[in-house]
Amino acid sequence: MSAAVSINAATKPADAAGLLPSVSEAIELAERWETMPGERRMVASLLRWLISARWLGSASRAAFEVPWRGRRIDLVTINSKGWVSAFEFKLGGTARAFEQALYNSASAHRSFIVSGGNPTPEYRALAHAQGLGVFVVNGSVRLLERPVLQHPRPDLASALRKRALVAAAGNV
Amino acid sequence: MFERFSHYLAYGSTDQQTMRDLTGSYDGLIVPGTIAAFQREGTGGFVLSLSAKADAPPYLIDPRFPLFQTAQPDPKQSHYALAALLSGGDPDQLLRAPDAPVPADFDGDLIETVARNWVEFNLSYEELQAAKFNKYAKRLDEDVDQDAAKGPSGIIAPYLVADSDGWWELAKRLYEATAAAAPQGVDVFRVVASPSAANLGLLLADIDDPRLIVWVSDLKELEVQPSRLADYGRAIAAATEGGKDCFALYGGFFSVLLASQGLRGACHGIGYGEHRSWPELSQSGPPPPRYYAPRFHRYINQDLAYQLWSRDAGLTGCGCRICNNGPPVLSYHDLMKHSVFARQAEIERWGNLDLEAAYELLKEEHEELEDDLEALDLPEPLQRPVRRATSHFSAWISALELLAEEE
Repeated sequence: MSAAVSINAATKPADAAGLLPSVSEAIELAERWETMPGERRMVASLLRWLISARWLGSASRAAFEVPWRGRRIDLVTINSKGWVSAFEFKLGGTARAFEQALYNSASAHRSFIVSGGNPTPEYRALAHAQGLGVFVVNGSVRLLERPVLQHPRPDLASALRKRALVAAAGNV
Repeated sequence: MFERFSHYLAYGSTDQQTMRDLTGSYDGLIVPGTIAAFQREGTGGFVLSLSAKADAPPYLIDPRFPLFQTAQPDPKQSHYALAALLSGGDPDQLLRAPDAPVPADFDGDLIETVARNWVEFNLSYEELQAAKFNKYAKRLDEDVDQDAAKGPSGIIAPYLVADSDGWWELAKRLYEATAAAAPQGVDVFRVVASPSAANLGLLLADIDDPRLIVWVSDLKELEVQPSRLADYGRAIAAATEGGKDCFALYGGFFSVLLASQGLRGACHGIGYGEHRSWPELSQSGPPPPRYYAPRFHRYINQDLAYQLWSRDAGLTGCGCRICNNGPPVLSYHDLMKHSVFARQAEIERWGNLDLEAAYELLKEEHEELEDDLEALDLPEPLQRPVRRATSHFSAWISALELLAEEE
């Protein structure tokens, strides 16, 4: 299994000013959620981690609550190569997040579960076997499982990218 | 409508192209009175241009009268339009608020007025609602002549949910007034609207119509107990035995199974509308984008359909002209069209089976499906939605067993 990567969740990205509006606006919005109850409070920490780890850069886009095939994906990011990552957040009870993440793997290049606590060993093994990424956000951000680059259906990946770009434009 | 097994569609947020593509896969159309009254020109143009085609399916207009059985403190524009139409321009006679109406609020004059206006609206539909005929006719991509446009194939009389003896008696008076107002030779159909499956049989036994439409409020085929489904089937069987042909105003695959009890047909929305509740829940918007999974005989979410297909294409694949045995990754309009083709295929396969054959086939299909799902060794997070998607089978099989015990 991949080693967990931990970065202080309080770290502010040094180059936030260079980000495209959708990402910087997303962080701004997510920081307002940090004091709120529920899953959304994990978002800002995760976004800062992704920027610090350079998974999100100056050409990246981010969109929340992207409507997709009759449901919504909590967070979708698009990097400079056009690769799409989908994130499902869950504070506890990760079964539903795993279900959604499995669905997302048909449409996204990387599919993640972002959990408020450690998943059970069974779920962690499942994530590993299915190539899903797992973050634990709980004061710090830990990448518990590194995702495998998926091979989504090209038509679905392209449609999700377009949908996320439209949603990202709405973030601004 | 009463030819076994008639497949009717409810007109809703459907585009002209979709309806055209569905030709041959449904037997008729039911247009909600609310839409017919509110969007008179648009709906009229749409429906009438379709009716002018050589292979036009018949259509009827549903008066949706139970709307006026509850308080309407904040009526939608379409409710207001229907009330205005039925009352002859005085909608407040029907839109009661803040108190819910009681049967005594509907006096003889109001009943006569409603019946007369409704009959007139139906009889003149082809002439008065044709303003946008040409606009919609052009979209059909086929020559249609306005003179060939047809009116409704019959009149559905205003009806009420028989929530009490008072409402049932009033419903009967509304039907009688409508039948009396209609010219000879025009079919007038009664809707027997029951608040429960258990009551339906009593209501059907109280009338003698040879052909009628039935609606059991909130009969969610996928969720209700087998005993309720069996009550419904029992009522249909008794009516059939008594010489009454029944058509279901709303129904999904279980209603197709009830062809074995004599049910002559059922209506559903395109991509939705297999049941309806009274009092109505506030809902709006187009049908959700879901995939009708033929082997499950129900809608499931598209992602689950794809996950299953990617492991075993036979589980959620479909041979209809939209799917062509490919992946269940469809555009919204294709999802809708596929759902109608899939239902039509179900009707062709199941619509002529007797109870024993339907029971045996359903059991066999269920076992095969469970075997195929088990062979997949699905990840645990997918097992739960799959269990939810198959849980109705045992209720349906139990309901058919209960009916078979009585045969």
